[in-house]
Amino acid sequence: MIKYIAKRVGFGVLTIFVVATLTFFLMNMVPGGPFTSDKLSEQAQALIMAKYGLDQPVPVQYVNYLGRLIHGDLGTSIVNVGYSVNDIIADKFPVSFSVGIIAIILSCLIGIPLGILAAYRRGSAMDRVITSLSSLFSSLPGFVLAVILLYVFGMVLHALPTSGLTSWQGYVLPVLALSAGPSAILSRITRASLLDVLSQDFTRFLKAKGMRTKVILFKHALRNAAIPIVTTLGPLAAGILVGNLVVETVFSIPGLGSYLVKCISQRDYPVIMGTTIFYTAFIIVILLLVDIVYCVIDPRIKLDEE
Amino acid sequence: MQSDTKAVRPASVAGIELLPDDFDPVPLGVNVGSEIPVEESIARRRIRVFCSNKVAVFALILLVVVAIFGFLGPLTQSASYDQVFRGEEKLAPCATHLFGTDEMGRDMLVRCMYGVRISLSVGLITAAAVLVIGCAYGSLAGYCGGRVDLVLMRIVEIVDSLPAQLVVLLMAITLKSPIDTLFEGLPDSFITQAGSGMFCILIAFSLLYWTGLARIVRSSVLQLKNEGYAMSARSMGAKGPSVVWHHLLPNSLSLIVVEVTQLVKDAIFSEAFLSFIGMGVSVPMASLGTLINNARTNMLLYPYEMIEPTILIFVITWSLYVIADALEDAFDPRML
Repeated sequence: MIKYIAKRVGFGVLTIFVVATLTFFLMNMVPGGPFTSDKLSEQAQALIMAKYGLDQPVPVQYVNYLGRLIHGDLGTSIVNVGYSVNDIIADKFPVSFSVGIIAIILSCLIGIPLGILAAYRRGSAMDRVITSLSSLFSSLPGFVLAVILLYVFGMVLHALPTSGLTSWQGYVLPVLALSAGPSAILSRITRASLLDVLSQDFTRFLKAKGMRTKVILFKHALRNAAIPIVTTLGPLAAGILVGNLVVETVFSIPGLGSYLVKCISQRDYPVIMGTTIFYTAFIIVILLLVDIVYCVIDPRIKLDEE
Repeated sequence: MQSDTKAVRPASVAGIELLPDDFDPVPLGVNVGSEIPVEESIARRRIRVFCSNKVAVFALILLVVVAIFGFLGPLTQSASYDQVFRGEEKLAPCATHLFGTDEMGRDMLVRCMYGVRISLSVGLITAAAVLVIGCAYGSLAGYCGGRVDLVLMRIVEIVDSLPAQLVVLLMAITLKSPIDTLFEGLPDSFITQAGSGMFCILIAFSLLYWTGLARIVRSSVLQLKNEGYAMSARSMGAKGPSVVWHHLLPNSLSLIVVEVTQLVKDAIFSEAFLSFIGMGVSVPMASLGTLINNARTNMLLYPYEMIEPTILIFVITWSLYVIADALEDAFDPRML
């Protein structure tokens, strides 16, 4: 177990290293430095370049960059002068995180019970409604849903605020927009996985010995069906995180996602780089946690074996 | 004469009284083949299973209609996607402009057609690129096995753990200017009109999305390469690539088809997302994502500008989703 976790952590560090390297060289491919502009004299430009170490050869810059990264320094914004990427993340990420975590919890609360219901009443009208809703929402891109929700509830009905997070009502629309897709996927996976388990011999045996369907479902089948559900949760969480970019922009939420979108249009490269690395690290940690949850749910899985 | 009646008798009728004559050999020239129930061919069975899913058939028809709308539609229109009709700005759908016009007086119908064309092209081109890369990579890993497999699959694991959409975003930003310079010398065409941003997205998709297919092909090849037919092909002197191409890949086809259909949908999804945040097509060209984003600012006044592209993108992704689902059932190897 510990050996496995160590291995996965090592692998995670390697991935972050790959992303860091990739970002660095990709950013270096962009011609023209961040300070190239007509307003600055050549001399001033050279001074600023020297300040940020951009006058040095690329390999030296790379080593310096990695060195700073190891110390947790993600760089400095070049558009909002004076702000470090670490400050920006510390300032903006909690907002994104609060929306994201509510969205994930909500998708579990909606998706998994609906999946169980659909599997329990397989073939019924209820099952068909849930399955079609699931196909509807998992094929609706998040930003489209966000825009539709904004239009219907915010602008036509005036029922809910359309921007900001000043009150709890502000959370409703963004959280709904973020959690619809994941709920649909979760309900689908839950249904498929439960049906698979319910057709296995041990559930048939439980039925034969006279156990009630509800007990079979909740006490035996669900735990066996949990692995595929948990497997999808990791990537889903990552997806919600990225989906945040759009949803935060649409609902004008002052989180890291909308900030990143702004930085992209402003070409604030250090912030884009730093945020990408931060997001990657975050996603890797989530995936690692999901892997560890596996062993708790299903003791049959031995993580040390390939 | 007697043998004729025998041939006409349906072979499926069981429990019929048999006469000694019934066991006579059938005279030459009498066609009995049509009377013997032939086992349904695999392709035919797949088509039947697919067609038994009414929703999927509907989705397929819908997708074909939308594709015709996108690829042939612009030919029927006199307006171009960037043509400005002065004095006809912000029109609601009417007889001259069926989808209305946007705030610059451009015809929304034509712009939506181009948006559909872009979306579908991105999906198809990505699928083609991934098909080549994924199959080649996966079969190399699976067929060679051993250390080659180990190294290749480690690389897949690393690429897999990258947050795809973020890296695509990053690549789209950074590849833009080198490709811009590359594009300068090119003649004006659909590709240059779509712009370098689009090209970046395609490159980024191709570089990141192949891992799923590579995994599938690898495990399938790994499993199939020791089957009798592959071994006998090898023993007759067939080289590795030939065995893979003629025997192993055709037998993995079912898995490949399902994966690629889902991939088309994912690519269209991601393109719309990137266009929405302003990373996709260059300005005068329209993509469904950019159309929705542009309409966002004025959606209360001109909701149709947002509704039209929204419906189109939803129709495309929903059809692909349902088709992929039905293909999965039709190609399910457990049903064979």
